[in-house]
Amino acid sequence: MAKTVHCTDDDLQRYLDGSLTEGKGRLEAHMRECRGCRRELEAYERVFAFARNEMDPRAAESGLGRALLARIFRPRKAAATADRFLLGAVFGLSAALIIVFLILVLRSELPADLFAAILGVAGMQALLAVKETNLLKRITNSI
Amino acid sequence: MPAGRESDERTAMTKENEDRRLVKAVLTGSCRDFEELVRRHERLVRHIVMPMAGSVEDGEDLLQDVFMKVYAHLGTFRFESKLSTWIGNIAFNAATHHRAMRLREKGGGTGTLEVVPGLPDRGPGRPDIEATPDEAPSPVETLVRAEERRRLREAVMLLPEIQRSILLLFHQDEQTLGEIGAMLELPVNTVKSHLFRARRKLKELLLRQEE
Repeated sequence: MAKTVHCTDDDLQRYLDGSLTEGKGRLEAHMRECRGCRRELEAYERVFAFARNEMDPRAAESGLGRALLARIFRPRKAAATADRFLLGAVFGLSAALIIVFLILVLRSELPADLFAAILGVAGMQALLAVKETNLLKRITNSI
Repeated sequence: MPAGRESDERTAMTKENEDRRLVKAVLTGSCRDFEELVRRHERLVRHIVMPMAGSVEDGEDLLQDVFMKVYAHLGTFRFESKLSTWIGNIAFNAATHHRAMRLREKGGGTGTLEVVPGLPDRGPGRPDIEATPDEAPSPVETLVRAEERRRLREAVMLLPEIQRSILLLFHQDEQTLGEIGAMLELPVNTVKSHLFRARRKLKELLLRQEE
């Protein structure tokens, strides 16, 4: 009497996911005869259905995209505003210094060469501040 | 060429073209297309990071970090793989890094499984898979099936995190074994072996329950 060969787990899973090509007919014929293998196949069918439909039901709109956009663009806008404020302050201070020195020179309280030297230093400081903080570049990028 | 395969190839081509359009649009600054990109890949990323996250809160943070990385590096994507594979790989690397940090903070864990409540309960209003208009289950049957699903969910939580991710990626996100391998940096045979082992464990649970 020929020994009955039962289906392996591998065969049953491949049968259900459609990757079993060779021996498909033999498996189906065996299923009609063997209650044990049929029971195993039915259990796998329930596992496949669970994995496909029940394991993680399709979630409703989570709004993740919008939250991310806010995270991406908000800091950039805030940084741009801060940069503009800082740049305005630097240039405003430089302008105020120049005006004060001009008034002092016009009232002849400060020698012209000293005024020129101070003016140069103030201008250099303003330029260095801009260069070091890379403000212009950051502002251009953020616009 | 068989009609089915031809149609599959056409679908793949359409998807690739759509990916290209989406990437190009996001790179030119389209917010709406970035939202669309996130919407399309959120589930896939969730299925990779959640099992490895350690907690739901960490998982949600990780999810955002992954998409921030995607946004930052989208310009480097060269279409050598599917966009979903590329994003999945970013998610896997981020989750692996996060897990390593978490274990280090804990003082060096063994990397063994932690039960993470990453899978939501069944959503409201979803049709019961067993219920059809022709053969509505009896109340007893409904109870038995509900109990079965509860046990299966518990069993899924006890699977190693990699098996859980692979199960979700294969069955829910319809990724091929090759694509999952590329995302998780595993050989196809290893992916297949994890998938088969996970399903066998769940099947054994169902059979034990019936005895």
